[in-house]
Amino acid sequence: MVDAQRSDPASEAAPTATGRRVALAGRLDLSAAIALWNSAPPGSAPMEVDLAKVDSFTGGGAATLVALAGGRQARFVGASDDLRRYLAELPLADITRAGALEQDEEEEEELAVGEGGLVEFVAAARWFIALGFEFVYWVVVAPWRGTRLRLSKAITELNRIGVEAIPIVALIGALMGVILALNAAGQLRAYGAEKFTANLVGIALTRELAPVITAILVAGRSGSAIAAEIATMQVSDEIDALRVMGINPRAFLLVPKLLAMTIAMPVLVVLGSLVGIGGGFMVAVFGLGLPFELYWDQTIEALHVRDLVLGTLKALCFGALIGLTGCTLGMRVTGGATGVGRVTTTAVVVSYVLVIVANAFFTLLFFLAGF
Amino acid sequence: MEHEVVISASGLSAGYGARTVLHDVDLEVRRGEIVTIMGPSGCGKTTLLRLLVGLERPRAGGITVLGQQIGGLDEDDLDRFRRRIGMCFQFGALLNSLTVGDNLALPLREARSVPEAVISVVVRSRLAQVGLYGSESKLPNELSGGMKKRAGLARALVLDPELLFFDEPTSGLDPVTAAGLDRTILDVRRRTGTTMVVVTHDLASAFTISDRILVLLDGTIRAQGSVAEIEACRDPDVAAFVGRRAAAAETGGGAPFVAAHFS
Ligand SMILES: Nc1ncnc2c1ncn2[C@@H]1O[C@H](COP(=O)(O)OP(=O)(O)OP(=O)(O)O)[C@@H](O)[C@H]1O
Ligand SMILES: [Mg+2]
Repeated sequence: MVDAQRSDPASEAAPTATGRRVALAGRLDLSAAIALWNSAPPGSAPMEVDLAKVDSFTGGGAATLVALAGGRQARFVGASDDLRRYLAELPLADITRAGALEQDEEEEEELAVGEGGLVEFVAAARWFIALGFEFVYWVVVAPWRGTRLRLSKAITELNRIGVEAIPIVALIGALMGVILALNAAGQLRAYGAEKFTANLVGIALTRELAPVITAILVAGRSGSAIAAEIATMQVSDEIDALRVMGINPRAFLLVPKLLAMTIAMPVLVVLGSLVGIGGGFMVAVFGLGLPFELYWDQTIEALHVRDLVLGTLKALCFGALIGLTGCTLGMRVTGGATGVGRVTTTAVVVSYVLVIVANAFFTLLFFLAGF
Repeated sequence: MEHEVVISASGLSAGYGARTVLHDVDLEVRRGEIVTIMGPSGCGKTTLLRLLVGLERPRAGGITVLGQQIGGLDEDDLDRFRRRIGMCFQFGALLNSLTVGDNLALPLREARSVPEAVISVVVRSRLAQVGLYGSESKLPNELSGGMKKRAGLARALVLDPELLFFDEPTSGLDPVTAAGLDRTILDVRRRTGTTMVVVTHDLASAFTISDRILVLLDGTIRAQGSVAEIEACRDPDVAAFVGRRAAAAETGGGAPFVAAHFS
């Protein structure tokens, strides 16, 4: 009996409805009350609800009655003393006002975000730059003043950021070399200039592609991991615990990561370039039948030390950008676990943008300088 | 007991964004005292504690701890100052990447040149002191919530701080463990004379350990005094908080609604 009422309270309410009078019976829970709410569309005449046969109620059911009274102008008869007492004890004046209040607050907050977004961006940018200078201080100046660099932590990080990335960087580098060689050879053959495949592969890889592709891999692998790790430590008070112990969290946590980042990136880029050149070589020699010596000489002739230096310089800079981005966003996280997720993805996106923009800047600079 | 004031704050106010959490907070703690700060959840107790150790900056007012104006310290001085204090966070705040033993050893390795052989003995005995002997090689996520808190206490004790701050040391602990922790706190004070500021919800614990209780309500200190004084306090909100039924607790505000819509 009770179950039947509970499963479909509207049908049980409808037959007993005489005009705008509705009777409820059994258990007044949220679903029963919502059915009643739906039976009286907005703008319908005031109704009277008979609660005499209601034998129990839930908080949700009672709350819906309050909403009905306000929104649909309902009156209630025959309510039990228990229900009346329950409602009398609620701060109903505040509760019924809360709906409007909340909307006000939301609007205010949106405004604040629009404004706070810029403020936060500027603050984060300053933090990013300050951390960059501080990193240089800890690595270059502080060791001379008797503050030891945390090399063992940096080595652990180097393993995670650098060594563990070697297989993927090598794979992608080799494939880049193969793809470049295939495309270049196809075009250059028309001019009988196939031997210049070596120049194109060598230059494009060392100066542009290896630094950028490696940076994108490292940002996805390690930039995000740094942001997530630091942010998690921040939201679980671990960073504050370090501070309270008198330990500078930037020197303790961030500097080893940044150091590892700026060492790993150039090494990975050189590796990627070499493997890529190897890939191009395989295609040219075994696939296209270019003589081994020709390709080798051509590569040596085309590649100058400055190309390698430029690539390495870029890599160093990209490593610093990725590391600083992850650290800055991680340290500045707000909003608990959701915040950790957000800064992790933001770190990757911001790193990509910074790397691509910095790369364009470098290339333009070198072009103008005639390198 | 000495009567030197070790913590004094006046006219403190603090908040997050547009929201003011604390206003006009004045407090004074003397050397060797155990002062507890009580108040409902979300009233700003943790915020107050964070102000006192310089993790948060006040919007107004000054804080002097151990003779130093916290607001005026630069980062290095703040680090030096903090080596004289210890803090136990609400959820332990152990570094998850380090074992419990390394967590305890961390301040020793960082702040002082303590030989490793000594560190290992200090770590083990501090863990034993909080009932965690033998857990030094466990990782924090292998510990229960209560064990993390106790390990956090052990870590805070490791440098023999002059001042200890606790954020809800007994919340989430079973009554027996909580009583044990209270005993540890009192033992530490008796042996070392450490001054302590304890934020807690736990009435039994507050009444056991406190020399003085501050009741924080609506962002300001509503009442303070010894346990007996707080128990006798007439302020209905304070009385409600320390467990006696407040006189005016039944005012729900729904009565007019019932009168208007029910017949
Ligand atoms: N990082 C923050 N950003 C915004 N608001 C905050 C932040 N931290 C705390 N608050 C707000 O400040 C108020 C006081 O928080 P606080 O953590 O000090 O409370 P508490 O008294 O320690 O509570 P509990 O007993 O539950 O730990 C809360 O209402 C909370 O919403
Ligand atoms: Mg708190």
